[in-house]
Amino acid sequence: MIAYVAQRAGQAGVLLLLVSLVSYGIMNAAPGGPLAVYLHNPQVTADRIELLRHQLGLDRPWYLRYLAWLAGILQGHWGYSYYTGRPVLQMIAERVPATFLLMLSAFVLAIALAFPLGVFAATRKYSWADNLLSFGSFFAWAMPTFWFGLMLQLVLAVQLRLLPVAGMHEIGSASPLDLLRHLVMPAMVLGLGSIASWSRYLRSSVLETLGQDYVRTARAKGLPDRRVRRHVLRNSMIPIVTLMGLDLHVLFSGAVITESIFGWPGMGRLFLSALSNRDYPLQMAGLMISASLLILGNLLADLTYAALDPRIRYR
Amino acid sequence: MARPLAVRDAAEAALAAGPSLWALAWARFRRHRAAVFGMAVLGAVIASAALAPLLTPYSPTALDPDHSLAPPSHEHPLGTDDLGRDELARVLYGGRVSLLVGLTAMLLGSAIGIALGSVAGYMGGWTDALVMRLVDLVLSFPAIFLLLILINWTGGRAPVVMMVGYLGLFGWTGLARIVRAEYLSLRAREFVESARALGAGAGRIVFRHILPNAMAPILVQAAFAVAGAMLAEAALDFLGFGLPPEIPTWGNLMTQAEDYITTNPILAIAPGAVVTLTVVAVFFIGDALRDALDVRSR
Amino acid sequence: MSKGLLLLGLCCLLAAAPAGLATAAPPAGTFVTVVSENPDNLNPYLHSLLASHLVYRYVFDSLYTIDYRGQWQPALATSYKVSPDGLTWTFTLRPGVRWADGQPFTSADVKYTWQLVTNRDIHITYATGFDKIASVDTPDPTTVVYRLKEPYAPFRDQVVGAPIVPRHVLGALPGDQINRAPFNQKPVGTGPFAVSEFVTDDHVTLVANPSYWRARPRLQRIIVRIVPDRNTQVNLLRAGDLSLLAGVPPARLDEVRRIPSVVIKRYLSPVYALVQLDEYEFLRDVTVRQALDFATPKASIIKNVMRGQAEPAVSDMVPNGPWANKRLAPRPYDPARARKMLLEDGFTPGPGGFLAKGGKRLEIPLWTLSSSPYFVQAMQIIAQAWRAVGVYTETHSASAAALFGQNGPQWNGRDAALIFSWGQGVLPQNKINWHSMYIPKDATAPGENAERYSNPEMDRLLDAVDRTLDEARRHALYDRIQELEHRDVPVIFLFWFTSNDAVTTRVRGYDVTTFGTTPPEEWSTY
Repeated sequence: MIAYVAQRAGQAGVLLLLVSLVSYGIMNAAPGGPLAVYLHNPQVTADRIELLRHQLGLDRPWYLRYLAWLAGILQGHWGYSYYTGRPVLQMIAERVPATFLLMLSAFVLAIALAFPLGVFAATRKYSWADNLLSFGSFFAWAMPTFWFGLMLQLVLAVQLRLLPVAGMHEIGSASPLDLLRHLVMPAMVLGLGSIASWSRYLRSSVLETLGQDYVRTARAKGLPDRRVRRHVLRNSMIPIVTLMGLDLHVLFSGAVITESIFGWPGMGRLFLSALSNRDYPLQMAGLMISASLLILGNLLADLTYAALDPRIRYR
Repeated sequence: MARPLAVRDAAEAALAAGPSLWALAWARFRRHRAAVFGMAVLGAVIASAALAPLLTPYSPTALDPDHSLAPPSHEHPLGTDDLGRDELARVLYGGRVSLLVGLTAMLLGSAIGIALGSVAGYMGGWTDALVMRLVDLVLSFPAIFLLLILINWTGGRAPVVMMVGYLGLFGWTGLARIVRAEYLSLRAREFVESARALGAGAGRIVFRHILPNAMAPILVQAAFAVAGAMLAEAALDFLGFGLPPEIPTWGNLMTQAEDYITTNPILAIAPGAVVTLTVVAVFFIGDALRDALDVRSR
Repeated sequence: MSKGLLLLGLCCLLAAAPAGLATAAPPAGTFVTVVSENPDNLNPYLHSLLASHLVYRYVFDSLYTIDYRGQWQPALATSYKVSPDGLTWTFTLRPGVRWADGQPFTSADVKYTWQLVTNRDIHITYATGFDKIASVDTPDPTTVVYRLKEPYAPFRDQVVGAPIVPRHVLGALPGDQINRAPFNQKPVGTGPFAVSEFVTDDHVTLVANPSYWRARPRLQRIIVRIVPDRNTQVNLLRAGDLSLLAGVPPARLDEVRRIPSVVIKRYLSPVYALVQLDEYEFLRDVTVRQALDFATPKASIIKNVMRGQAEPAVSDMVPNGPWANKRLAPRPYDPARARKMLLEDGFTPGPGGFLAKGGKRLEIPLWTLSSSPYFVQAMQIIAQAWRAVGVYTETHSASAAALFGQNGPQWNGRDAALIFSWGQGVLPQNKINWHSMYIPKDATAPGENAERYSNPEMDRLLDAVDRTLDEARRHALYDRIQELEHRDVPVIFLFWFTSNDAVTTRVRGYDVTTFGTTPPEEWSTY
């Protein structure tokens, strides 16, 4: 096990280097560029842009800039944002708490609802309730996030005045309850998609497992229903674990549309502005951290498989 | 869009691979009520997109700005959009691109995902490591820039083919991991051991013995992938990497409705409902396929 | 599992329960408004986003300022005189002014501002006019003498109206550190409010500066919330969270008008929408450009896309400002005439009914910003109208970086028409837009005259107006400049934006015109 993890860590190092090189290269080859923002500002004249190009080092070839960036990273310097002049790591770090809170809430909400809904649907296969859940799930998946977000706002916040429209805190308030009230709608909107997809996967896997020989055997042997159910659930978890592993990095990188609709100061908005401004230092930092978490998430999923199903071994 | 049903293609192709099991499956599939519903809905949706000119007298692109945002009426059953185009016509014609993109991107992504995932899961070891690191790479690097570069080369726009290619080539990773995990679990089962003992080749084991048992998550993924590709198409349009704004797709119809969700709610709900119906149909068909392939159940 | 569910439900209930008790309305003395983007930098000389200006405007003063009636008023200076040769500008500063941190404001700060802006190590984005200064003398703490390299009429607009930054905070820092200074997030100014908290992508809190030189602000604080979604902004207003929503989207104006506690302040914004015609092939022909102007249904766009919240445009000078040439009238929408002009210009109908000349199709793709639904809609209307007169037109929408950046559609050497908004504000200086010296040299070179308009008479006029100090003469020159803009159609002027600011009835003293708002120290809420 330890040897396997060490081997994966080694692969991750090579992979991250490759990701950084490829990303830096194609980002620079893409049309646009960091100075485009200034080009669309009537106040910023051509001579300023020319000077900024030089000051930001954009007049050097991209591979030299990449090497400089890489040398910086290896010494722990992540660079400064082109636009705010602030250290990118600081800009990222200050978003972590809000992002993590929102994403984790949605994650927990999704787990809490997806499992019962998925198992329920599987046990009542092809009933009206199951079909209704299918429709509901795919409706949740088909409608754009902004639609759910704005509808919730209109009903719960504007009409009924039950919850605040947007933001993270009421002015001057720091109470946890206030935070929770602001969290409800974005977490619901965000959790919806995961509830829909996880519950469908779970339903399908449970149905599949229920048909397996050993489950029939267990039932025939008169094993109590609860123990059978636990076995079935355990063996139906693999696709969900895969999806969760793939989604781990999202806990860090946020969800831009939900954040924009609810004015939540999360990572998604930071990275979108970095992307649309071509703020290379910020973009690269975000990319590297996300990539690391993605690799970690997939590794954790692989380890979880082995725990769920003892037959899974990695050579 | 007059092609036969995509999923049926898959079923029939599968049928050819192994008569006994697959023929049985096909017989079961036809008995499935939800599947019949799914086929009917998908057929109707595809037909209405293909036959749109027969179903509506309106053009989906001709503007009539002086009659914009009209509520539903006898003349315009779904009202008109913000530039006075008949919304029903937009939804009908919108299916052409959306169905093409959604179904083909799903098929392409599924084909790559199943192939790579099953090989990685069955072989394990370095093959597995290599394929899975490829998954990590594809998921980690900002593919959107690659598209941007390609589009710049082609003069500013992604034709549908390029978009399908993009969505398919970058949309297989999740499925590959799901399939591989199933294989990791299934390859050590008794029926695989016995098939091996009987001298079955690797290809035969991978596709004839294990694949039918790994179909459950694949078929769910297929349904979500259809919806995912349709919405991703709209996102690409919005970012300026996709189709021109006058070409209707279900995705961009919804995006364009954002400002009118209170005044003209139908503009968002109508395309949303069609996407839902289509995806549910794909899911029901998949569900029936899973049932049909499951030799043990019932 | 069901226990978890129960707990969750309970949390939701708890979260929702105290709703009736707490209302969102800002307390008396607090003024809440909202911007769409995170301010990038609150140093006025380092920022690039409008959102930053909307925050630092409360923090800094300039020597003179334009009030909301469009009149120049003394601010940090009390008077000035210009030498007869136009080369020496002497300002007398207001005594007793202090920075928000208590330090006195002196002529050294004014001189330092010039030094900051012209420091080539600093990432300066705005320096127009400062480069005309040869030296700045400070004979005593309340006197500043600018000596210019050449007579330069826009000096007042560009430098005298520019914010003054504090020497005692920044003066000791090397240029490189100024790019990264905490000042850029928490600036120190002489203005009526000071930034007390800046939570990125959430809000900026500004507190009143009790010793503000003009008057003690009536508000205790201003909170600028940062919420990107325009529909969420309207929902915030409807829920009573905001004191002011500047620029209600036209699509939701009717709905906002129905809110009883909200008053709409309507004014012409000094920003215009345009179709930039990049002159490479057929677009070099002025007849083609004029014909396209006739073929563009501007009235329909104003009525159907902007829902009436726009005014016709004929030049780049805001119509209710002092510089607009009142004799010019927009070309009417006349597709028949447009087609006739093109036919007389040698174009003949070819395959598909599209016009061609010399075997080449008249092909002009339209581009715009995907982030603006108005431009995307306007683009489709224009495309339909242009096709109707025989122009082959495809539509593209793209992000700002892709549209304006290197290797974008402006640089592929082919005709292109770009729809976006622009404007030099209420001031007349438009040299960078029309002078041939601002035509970009190549695809990666910047330049404001991206339409590549070149006219020797225009160049002469623009050079002359910079040297002309006499107001009447300047007016005459700008009138002629606008005649050329109208005659030569370097861009098609579509419309001026009408802004609708929604203000709650709890706000007093807020008003807004094309030139700006009433001074923020006069605003109050109860």
